[in-house]
Amino acid sequence: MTGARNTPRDVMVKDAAPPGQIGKVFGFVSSGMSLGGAIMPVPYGMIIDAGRPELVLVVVAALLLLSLLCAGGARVGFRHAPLPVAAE
Amino acid sequence: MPHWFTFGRDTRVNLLLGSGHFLSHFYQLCLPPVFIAWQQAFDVSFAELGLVMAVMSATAALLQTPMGFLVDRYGARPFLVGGTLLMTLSIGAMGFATTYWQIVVLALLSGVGNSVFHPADYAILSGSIDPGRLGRSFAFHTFTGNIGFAAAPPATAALMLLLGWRGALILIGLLGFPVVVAIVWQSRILIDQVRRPQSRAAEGGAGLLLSRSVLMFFAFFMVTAMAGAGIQSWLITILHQVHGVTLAAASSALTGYMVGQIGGVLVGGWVADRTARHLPFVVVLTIGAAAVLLLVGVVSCPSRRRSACCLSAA
Repeated sequence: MTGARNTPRDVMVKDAAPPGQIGKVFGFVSSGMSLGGAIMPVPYGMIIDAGRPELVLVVVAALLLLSLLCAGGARVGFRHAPLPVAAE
Repeated sequence: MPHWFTFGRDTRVNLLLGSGHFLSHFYQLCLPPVFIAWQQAFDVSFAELGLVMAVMSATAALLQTPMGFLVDRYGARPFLVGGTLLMTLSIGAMGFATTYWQIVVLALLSGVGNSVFHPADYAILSGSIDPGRLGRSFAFHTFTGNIGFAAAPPATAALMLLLGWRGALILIGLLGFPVVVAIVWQSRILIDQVRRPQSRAAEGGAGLLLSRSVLMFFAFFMVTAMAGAGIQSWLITILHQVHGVTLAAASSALTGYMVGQIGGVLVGGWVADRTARHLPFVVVLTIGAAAVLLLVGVVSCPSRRRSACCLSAA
């Protein structure tokens, strides 16, 4: 299920990027992916060290739901400030 | 029109960019199998070897955004060719390294080459591919990267057995040259994104990246990767410690998750081409995945059913 999210997500980003700006927008959001992958393994390890490994999956589920707020927020921002798509 | 015996233009674009993207991921994970050999050859610690990966990943991550600005300004093709060539040469040159610091410098250069792919590929795919097939094209692009990650460790390890680590890295480096040649040869079918008219040249830039919608997408990607890191790094430990699953079975569950995820990418691309309602699709999948993960995390159930859960969460 998380794999199938990837492409609709990419298409939404592409639709939100104004013409001629796709490179910087994809570069920027991709670096968000690297950042997210870099910061979390240690805190998860600390949760397991604290003797509550089952909480890791709860945190993962909570983060997934939080990501929906971000996606929803992106769409709202997109709708309020329509980007010039058909101008040329 | 495409014929039975020739590839259509979209297919050729997908194959060209896909092979570059495959390499960019392959080159990231072809190094870990070499670590044991390097540890003896250069007499370095495993922490220093870890630094090689950190330098490569951090460089690629930090340079992606500036590279995106360059791609938008000067066009994607030259950067795609340059990035692929730089990566190829860096990895091949590692086969000739005589000291540890040379490896670190080459890893840095390889990271520079790697930073090109996401900005350049998405700009070219958006400009070249029929919009009705763009979802499948993006999905294939992601798929090639995943396959590159999956193929690199076993392929490198096998080549090391045959050729030693130097021969293996040189050969892997050489693999990039046909890809560079193919991209240059076919470059007229790689149509760049629509360029911004000069009159609006001042628009966008950093202001665009700090707009609400792009920042929210940044957060979406980041939080998703934060969630994914929990599964990828820790699923094995969790299944073993919480549910008493054997390490072999827990590891298979992670492989199942990764395979499910790669398959899911292709399904997602197919769906993305058939509906414009991307957000509801993402919402349903996310809630489903979160529910399944909570089930695995909190509820105790027989291990076979739990493996099925991991697969479906992927």
